Amino acid sequence: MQELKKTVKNTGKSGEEGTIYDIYQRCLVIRLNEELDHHNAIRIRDKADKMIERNHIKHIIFDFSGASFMDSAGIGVIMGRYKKVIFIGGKTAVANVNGTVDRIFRLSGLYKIIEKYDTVEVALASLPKA
Amino acid sequence: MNDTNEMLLEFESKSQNESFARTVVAAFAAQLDPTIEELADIKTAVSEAVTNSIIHGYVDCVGIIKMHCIICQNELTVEILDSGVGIENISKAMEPLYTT
Repeated sequence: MQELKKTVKNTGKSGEEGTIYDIYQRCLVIRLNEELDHHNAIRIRDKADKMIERNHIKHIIFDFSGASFMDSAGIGVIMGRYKKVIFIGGKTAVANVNGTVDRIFRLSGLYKIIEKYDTVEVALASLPKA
Repeated sequence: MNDTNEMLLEFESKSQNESFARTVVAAFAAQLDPTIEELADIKTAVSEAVTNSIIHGYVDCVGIIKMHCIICQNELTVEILDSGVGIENISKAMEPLYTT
């Protein structure tokens, strides 16, 4: 497994952990710990964009293990980050998606442009080295 | 008489209420014993409609959104209502892939 370079945590109002951002070389792993709806999407999008720019991120993995719900706002977050890295040959992937989220990805056709992996470890191992 | 039920929820058009509306509709729908998939679909539909009212209906202000749910026998009807800017051409808006 690649070395963990940096972790940035977003603590929620009640002190519980929100979404966590890990960097492995040039890969950003976004560990969602909340529902991915319009309300949370704004914050996640802005934070992810800052991380991408400041750390020369090439690949992005969304870890859905802590995301119990997602609607079209979530698709927007993924599409937006996909567009950010595609021009430098970067890939966007999702991992640990549950049945509900998987269904929305399939219905939206998002699997045509993003990869699904069972776990973050498998995703990191499969993505081309930066 | 016990196979009908009705509720009305009014809330401000703030994004933190999207989750609240989903939770309320799921709690109300529970009495019909929906499958996990059915519940997910109901929550997603409500989430989309409420979000639309917030970002498009009340585009630069805060207004009231109403969620009206009716259960009749085995059927749940959900209405999301706002008094925002409205849609100019509703039939066009319902065409697939139409966008402004």
